[in-house]
Amino acid sequence: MLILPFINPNSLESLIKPISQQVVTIKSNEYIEKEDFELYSPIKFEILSILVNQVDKYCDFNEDQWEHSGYKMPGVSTFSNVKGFLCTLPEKYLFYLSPDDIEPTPYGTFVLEFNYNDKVISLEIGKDKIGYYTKNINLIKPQSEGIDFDSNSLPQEILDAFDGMLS
Amino acid sequence: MIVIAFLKKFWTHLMGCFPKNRIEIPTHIDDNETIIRAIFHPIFVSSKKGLKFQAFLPGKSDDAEQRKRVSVYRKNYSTDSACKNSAISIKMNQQSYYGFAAFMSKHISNINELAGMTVQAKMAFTPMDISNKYIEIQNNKIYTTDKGIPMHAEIVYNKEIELDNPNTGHRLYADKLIEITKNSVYKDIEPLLPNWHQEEIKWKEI
Repeated sequence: MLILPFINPNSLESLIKPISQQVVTIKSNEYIEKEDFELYSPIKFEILSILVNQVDKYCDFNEDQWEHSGYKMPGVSTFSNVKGFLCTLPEKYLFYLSPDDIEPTPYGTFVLEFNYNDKVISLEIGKDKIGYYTKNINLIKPQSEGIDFDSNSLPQEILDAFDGMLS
Repeated sequence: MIVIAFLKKFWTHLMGCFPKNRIEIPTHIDDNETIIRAIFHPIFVSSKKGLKFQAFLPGKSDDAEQRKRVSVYRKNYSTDSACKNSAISIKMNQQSYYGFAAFMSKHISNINELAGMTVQAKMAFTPMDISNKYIEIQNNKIYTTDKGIPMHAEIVYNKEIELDNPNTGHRLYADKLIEITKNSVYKDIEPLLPNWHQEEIKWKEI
């Protein structure tokens, strides 16, 4: 019997490992070029690498493994969008996303669920769109079916949702 | 006393093996009917967070029509054991039968009326034969004792799930159903054995 690929891929374990044992696999040159990462504290790099590593774990599965698990394999652009989103999102929000809350859907997208107290932002990222809904956040636009998305810049309404989550 | 206890247990077991007496199943699904959804692990449920929104969303079929439909059972026209025996016969790759989640038919129309819902759904009676093919209900009467899955029904969304891009409206809908079934998720403690031997499956108030 094959091992189920979508259950707790050792994310908690990775959270408690010392920083020096983390294998940083951030592949977005854009992030490095765009930002002077030395300005960021190591913890930023740490949480980002943990989250990106979580996404990378899913990159390792081949199409048959996805198919056998009842999932559609996300496309290359979907993987790229998820990692690009994590790299572009302001650091203060990354701490509200547990690695376990990055999950593929059966239809080829990823869902990222951010939690702060009773406030929730549930984001879904696909090949060229990002959608979201929120809970307990006071917003003019509390949800969106899908906004055209490229990971170089985040839609303003999504940034507004994150601002609302922490306010 | 021992003989009586044995006979009582045997009778209960025997009744659990068969659907209720032969009753015609109405095509209209009443608002107060109990609807149950078979839950599979890990795709529909996680041990840490409970039910996932996937539990109430269609699968990833290439058929757009199937990407609107979610299979359920009409509990009032079956037994817990018959529903379980049907559920454990479903073969999903790398997924194992976990148990059931229960709600009332009226909850579907209640969710439709909530503010912010961009997707609507309805309940449809879709009995299946022994080969899991839909039975035409226009000219046929369906009985609880019919072979196949006479108690089969579906939550039918008004839009199909889109592949490779977000389905916020569907996820939000499913999230509402998770809230409604919060106290009505039944983990089967004997998932590999036929028949249901636990408390009766029904929707419990939140």
